[in-house]
Order: sequence, then structure tokens, then C-alpha cells
Amino acid sequence: MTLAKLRYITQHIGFLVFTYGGFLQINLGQSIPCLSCPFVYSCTGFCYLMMLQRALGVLFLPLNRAFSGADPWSNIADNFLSLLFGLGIFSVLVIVLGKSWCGWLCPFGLVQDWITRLRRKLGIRESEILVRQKEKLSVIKYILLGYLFIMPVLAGSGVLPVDFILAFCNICPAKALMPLFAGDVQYIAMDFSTRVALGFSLALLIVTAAMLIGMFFKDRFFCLFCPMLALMNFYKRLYLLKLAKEPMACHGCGNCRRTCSLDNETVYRERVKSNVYDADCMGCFKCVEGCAADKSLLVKLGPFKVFSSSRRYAARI
Amino acid sequence: MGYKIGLDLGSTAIKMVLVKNNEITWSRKVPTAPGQEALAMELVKGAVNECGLSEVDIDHIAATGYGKKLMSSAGHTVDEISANAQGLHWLSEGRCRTIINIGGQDLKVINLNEKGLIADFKMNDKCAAGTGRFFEQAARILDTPLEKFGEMSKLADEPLELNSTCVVFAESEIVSLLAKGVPKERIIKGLHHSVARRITHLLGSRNTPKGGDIYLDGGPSQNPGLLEALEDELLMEVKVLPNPQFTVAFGATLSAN
Amino acid sequence: MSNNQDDREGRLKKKILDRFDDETSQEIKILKSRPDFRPELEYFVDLLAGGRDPATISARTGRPVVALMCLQAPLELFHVYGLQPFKIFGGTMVAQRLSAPQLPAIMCPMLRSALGELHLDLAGSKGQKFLAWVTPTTCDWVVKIQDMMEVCGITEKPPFHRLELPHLKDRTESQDRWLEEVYLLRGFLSQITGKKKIRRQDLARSMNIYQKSWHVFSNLIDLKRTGRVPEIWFMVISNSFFFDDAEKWTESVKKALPVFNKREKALPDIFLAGSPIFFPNLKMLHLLEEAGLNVVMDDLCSSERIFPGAVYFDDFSEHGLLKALAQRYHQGCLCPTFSDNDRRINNIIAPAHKDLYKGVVFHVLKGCHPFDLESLTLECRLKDMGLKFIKLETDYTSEDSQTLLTRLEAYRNTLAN
Repeated sequence: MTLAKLRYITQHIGFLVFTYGGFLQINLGQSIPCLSCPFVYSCTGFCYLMMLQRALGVLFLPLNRAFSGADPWSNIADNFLSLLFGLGIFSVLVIVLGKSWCGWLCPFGLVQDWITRLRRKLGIRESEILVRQKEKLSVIKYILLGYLFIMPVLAGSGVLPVDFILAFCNICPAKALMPLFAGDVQYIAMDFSTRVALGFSLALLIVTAAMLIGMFFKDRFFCLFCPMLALMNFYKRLYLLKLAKEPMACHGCGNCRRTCSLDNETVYRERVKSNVYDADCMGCFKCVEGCAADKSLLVKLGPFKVFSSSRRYAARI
Repeated sequence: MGYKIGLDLGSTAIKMVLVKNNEITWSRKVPTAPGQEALAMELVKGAVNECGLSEVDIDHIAATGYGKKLMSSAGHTVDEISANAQGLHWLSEGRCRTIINIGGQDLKVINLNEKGLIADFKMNDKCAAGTGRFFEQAARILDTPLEKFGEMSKLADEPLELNSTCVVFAESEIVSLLAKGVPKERIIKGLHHSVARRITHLLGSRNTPKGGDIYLDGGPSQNPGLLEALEDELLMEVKVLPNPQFTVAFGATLSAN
Repeated sequence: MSNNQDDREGRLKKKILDRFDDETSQEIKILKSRPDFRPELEYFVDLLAGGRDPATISARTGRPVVALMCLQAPLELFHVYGLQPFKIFGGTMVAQRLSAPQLPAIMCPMLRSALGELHLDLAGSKGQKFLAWVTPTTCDWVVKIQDMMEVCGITEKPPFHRLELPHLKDRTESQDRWLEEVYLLRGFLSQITGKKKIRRQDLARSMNIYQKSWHVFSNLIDLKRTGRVPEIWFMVISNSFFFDDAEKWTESVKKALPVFNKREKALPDIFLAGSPIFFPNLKMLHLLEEAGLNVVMDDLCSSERIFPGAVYFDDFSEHGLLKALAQRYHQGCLCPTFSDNDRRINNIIAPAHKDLYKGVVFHVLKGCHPFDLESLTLECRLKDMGLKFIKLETDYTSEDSQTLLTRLEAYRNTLAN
């Protein structure tokens, strides 16, 4: 059993559980640190991004109510506590597994990997143009994270229509694509109910189409923009599951960089530090598997080594 | 009983010591010639006879030097670098940290640690410059016995800059200097300085000792002119043992323990 | 007059050819009479004994042979075009006598010998020649190989292809440049074979074949790390790699693995670094054995480094495969001719941190400047760590064996300190 196979299995388990677990009445709460889309009606747990937007929106509702003359302070403590509670669970989950949620469990990540597999089967190369723009593109996720924080606040306070509480979900391609696996096509249909809804459904279609093209020509294209990855980066000093490098043992062969779905250079370039957990890293540890130098790259859980690179392992067929 | 023999079969001379309780009781050297083992066995016989011993008194024969493999009767063999280190460590009573050994055909620099173990060593590469062979050659061209080199170089005031330390090129250079009428004393002093410079280069910065004594060892170290030139080039005090050419042979007997 | 000259040359070649055979067969005899010789090793010894001319190798592999000067050109690419790459090493001392008069006094003896061997017309003695000649521009001697062939009067002139090797391997621009060179090499190979297209599936298959070879070879390396494989046998096995089809060679290595089942003696473990060593000039290895030193690691390009290491690829497009090969053979290469080369030094030093060896023996062939220069950096770094280091400079000659042995023996004693 190689790490790659194990990961492929956990990704599928993640996909099945998060997408269809609802049929078995499983409920994993609303703080899941991966794109387990709540718009899939059979989903098992909610993507924390939705929870976060909603909690922010609800928290700022008192302002809205104050404008309309009602008691602004009812439920505020409850709302604040529920925000903290959700954040607490999310934090624990992120701290334990780090960004390996993305590489090992995220159902939308797996969908992207399927598309990549299809491209490889067809013998089509990864787009160098997209790869070279990666540094610039990956900034967008922080902008999206800002968007995701501000819009619910504005919507909650009544400045913007209530549709903006889920401002990010409304343009997230997972919302369009993931429900398809439960046989639900409503989110790729145009919503003519209001002008805002129409605008959002149009935007969603455009974004999804663009992402599908991007995902076909570049591995894990959406991950470059995913605000979940940006959010998780705030915990980077706390991850228990870590990626470490022993720079002295590195031969600089470039296997790690080539195999990286997100085309990170940090692991390859680092010559001094041990911490190479890049901001764009999704914790899949493919680089550790591909590394051809003995004990140059390590996966650690807290102080314990879980897996280390080796010449022999890299030479497997 | 209790006697040990140390044989150093070098490229130009065979040196032998007879040792009892780590004291040299008898020593001799003969020039190297074909049939080294026979020559060496003759030396052994000589020692036994002159000291009034019999063969059974010899507990052990230790051989070292380039010819050590030829000694079938040796109890054990040791390489000359290790033998040199052990010998000098004992004879200098542990004060030696750096050995500069000038052999017949090579030049060695050996660094010792406090325990007398080799920390590092360097040897010159396949070149006779600065070795005993170089001095022999010079003595022949200058028509002056080697033993006189020391006192003659003292007579010169200024050393002559020699351009080459290569045995072959130095020869023609000396010949032309003699033809120009340059006094032999200055040439000899120049030779000493050129060899001393070569040794200083071999030492380099890394092998120059930070503490402890430097010893010059091997046959040519009996030449006071060379010693003076070396101290001048190294800017350090350099010591010499009373019988420097027997250090390696003596060290070989120590390594038998 | 010219007749006399031809006659003299003919007689000289004949004489040296006889000595060449002597030198080879003598080493073969030594190898086969070693107490640790086993029938499983016969295959490798016989490959080396069987001669290195293109005719023999071509007959054995069923592929036309392309001469390769250095190991940065992806072997898999030759394989997929149905070619047998053959890395040119020179190992015989006597062959130098044919090339030495025409060449500089201080030059790489390995190439002097290789040129002599080519001049012996060994290459063409059975009528078949190298189909082509491929040269990545590594060290000065390799860069000038075509000129030197001319100077030495080597008349065989197959199509000659150079790959410009970027000497700063960490730069993205250099890496792109090298990928271009790999594409150019593909074009050259397609031109000399007349094969317009290769299928990416075939290239991936060739890559898997070499990956398999590396995997098995890697097992052998692991055995060597535990002190069970004498460096002489390791060298014989790795030296013979280019003499046969990669798959056959791999099978034979697999069969030979069980031979090395125990560690003979508890000798001090050392790292052998520096210039390559090639059959039949195994002098240095014999001396190391005689001095009681056990090589558990080395970084010679004729030994552990004949393979670039594992090539990880998951982009199965043709471009993806070529990119994987280009990067692996360039960035992962630990040849001393690269300029940004601290990783090469690290490769020697890092195992010392894990106590895998006690000291480094650095082998420098006289005239091999890249290694010679680098030994200075390495010496400083090792000695600062309190590790033992010895540099042995030697030539293709046996007369310095005794002085080398003296040093190695003394060095061995220092390892115990």
C-alpha cells in the first residue's frame, strides 16, 4: 500500500461520506474544514465557510433590527456563542489534520483530481501558462476571504440584500457541481426569482464554467482560489500534522516540485529551514512520496515521524 | 630476553634499532640496495653479535617503511606514518604536536593529538623536491659533502633566491650559478630556504599547530642550516631529536604493544 | 616514408592491443579468483571481459549503439528510439600510450585512456561503429572531446551531437534551457533513427524499465550501506551496466543480490568520493581493500551515480514525460562541474551526521580539476565537523601503489582515533 493509494481511498471515503452520509442520518456538524457542500441535500456536514458566513450575518442582524426599531439585543449572546462554538470545532479539526483536509478528504478536491486523471489519460499536458501565473492567481483567495467576511456583515446589517449573507456560496463552483452527484440540478439552473438571485446564478455559471476549463488544464486549479485554504493558513503554526524538510539531505532533483498539484516551489527551494509547509500547500504529501533522497522530507504528527522519504520508496514502480 | 628490533626499510637507507624497555640500546643504518631482506637480516645479526646476545633474546621484529612487505621474518609491519607518530610522541615525552619528516623520497607533515594519535597528515605528491634525494643531488653537483651543508650555510649572509625546487631543474640552475661564480655558501643557504618554503606550503594554514612543539625528523633534519631556514620561514621554534633518523624504526617497536 | 610510418603505427597498435588484452584478462583473472567470487557474478565479469566495441554490444543488445560522454542525457530517450546508450569510460592504462603524445601532459587520464582505446580502433575492429556520439558539455575535457579525437587521429566520425548543459541548475531559466536541449536530443535521435514519432506510452514504458533497474540497483546500494557488498563487486556490476540491455542486466543484479548475505569483516566504513573508477583500472579499490577500509557509500559517476535516481512522473503527456526526464537528469545530477553545487557536498556530509561512515577518501585523477577544486571545500567542511578526510591524487599508472597504500594504512589508523 503506497501513500498515494491510501490517499486515493481516503479521498473517496471523504467523498462518499460527505456527499451521501446524509442518507444514513449521519450528522457531522457545521464546521467541516473542507468543501462538503451544504447544498448537497444528502450531505453529512456543512462546509465551515457557509457556517461562518451565516454566523457573521446573524451576528450583525441586531444592527438591522435596530434600524427597524425592534429590540436589537435579543439573542445576541446566543448568536455570539454559536459563532464561537462553530469556530472552536473548526479550529480543533484544522489543528489536528492541518491542510491535509484538502489533500486527503475534500470531496471537491477529489472531483478536481478526477478531471486531472482524465486529462492525463488523454495525454494532454498541464498548461504551463496557468502554472506560471500561479503566484499571482493564488492571491485571489485572500481577496475572496475578505469578500466572504465583509458581505455577510453588510447583508446582516441590512446594507445589502439578504442573498449576500451567503455571498461566497453563491459563486462557489462546488455549489453548482457537488449537488449533481446527488442528482440535484437546481443550482445550475437560472434563478429568476429576484434580480439579485438571477445575478448570482449567472455569476455561478460563469465561474463554474471558467473553473472547469481551468481544472481541466491545471491540477487543482480551484484550490488556488479557495478561501478555505486561506482561512486555514491562519493556523499554520499550530498544525499537528506537518511537512518538514531536512535540507542537508536534499539532492535538488525536483521530483517534489514536479509532482506538486499546486506547483509550490518552497519544498524544492528551501535550503535552511525545516518548515516547508507552504501557504498554498494542501497537505497531500505527494512530494514526500516522490522525494528520492533518504529522509529528506518528513510527515510529522506532533513530534512523531509518520512517514519519511526514501530512495527505495521513490524507486517503486 | 625482552629485546625488540625495529626496522625501517626506507627508500635510501635501512635503519635498525634494538630496543629494551622502550630504550634504544643499539642503532645503525645502511644504504638501501637490492636484497633488502638480506641486508636487514645482516643488521640484525650484527646487533645480536655486538651486544653479546643470541637470537632467542629477540622477542619481536617490527618492520616499517616502503620495504616492509619484503620482510618475511617480521613479527608485524606498520606503516611509517603511524610509526613516526608513535616514535616521536614517546621520545618527545608527549610534547610533540607536529612532525615534519623529510624522507629519502618524500616529505610528510603529521599532526598529533594530546594522546599522540594521528589527527591528520599530508604527504607531497610523487616529487622529490624538498626530500633527502634533493639534498643528495645538490651535494653531488656542488661537490660538497652533505655534512658540511650546515656550517657552510652559516657562513653566507644572504640566501640566494633559487627559482626551482625541482631536482632536475635545480641541477641546471646550480650549475649555471656556479659558472657565474656565486659562492657555494650562498647557494646552499638558498637551497635550505627553498626547501623550508616548500615545507611551509605543505603545512598550510590548516596543519600549522596552534600549540605543542614542532619536530623536524628524518635524516636531513640533522642539518642545522635547514633547521635555521625552516625556523626562519615558519616563524616558529622547531625541535630536533638527537638521532632523528631512527625515530620511525623505534616507533615501529612501540606499535608492537 | 609514409609506408614506414604506417607500418610503425600498425606495429605499435598491435603491440598495445596485445598489452590491452593482457591488462584486461589479468584483472578478470584477479576478479574470478577472489574468494568471494560467485557464479552469480560471472555475468557481470563476462560482460566486461567481452569487450566494449559497438559490434559486440550491438550484437548483444540487438540495438545500434550510441556513444555517450556524460550521464545527463536521458537514457530512456535512447531506449525508446531503439538505441543502446553506451557511456564512454576509459579504464586501461596501456591505451594511453596511443593518445598521450598528442594530448596535454596534465589531462584527465580517464579520457586519455578512452581516446587511446578508440584509437586502437577497438571500436571499429569488428566493422561496426557507433551510430552517433552524444556529448553533454560537462567538464573541459568532455567539452573538447571532438577536438581531441581529431588531434588523436581518430578517423571514425559518426554524427556528433552536443547538449549544452546549463551549469547553474537551480535557475528556472537554466531548467527551461535544458528542457529545450532534451527536445533537441529527441530531434537528433529521431533523425538518426528515421523514426518520426514516438508514442508517449512507449516512452513511459522505457522510463519504467530504467526505474526498475534503479529499483534493483537501489537494493544493492542498501546492501552496500550495511557493508555487505565489497566495492570491487559493486563497481564491476555498475561498470557493466552499459554493456547489455537494461532489463537483462537488471535481472542479473536481482539474481546476484542474495550473494551478498553477510558482512565479511568489521572494517572501518568509509565514503569514497571523487573521480570515476572504471574497469580494468580497479587499482584504488584493491588498495582500499588491502588497507582494510570498507566502502559503504560512494558518489562516483561510474558507480552509484550511473543512474540519476528515481524519476517521479505523473503527467503522462509527452511533454510531461520529457520534462520529468530533463529535470531529473539535470537538477538531480551531482556532477562537480555544476556551479551551484552545495547539494553535492551535502550529499557527502549529510550521511556523516547520521554516523553512516567514519571518513572520506577522495580520489582525484591527475588533471581532473573539478574534483580537485571541490576537495578543498569538502576537506574544510569535514574537518570542521571533526571527520577524517584524505585526498589521494593518482594517475593511470601502478607505480604509485605503494605510496598510496602507506597513506591509506596511516589513514585507517587515524579512523580508530
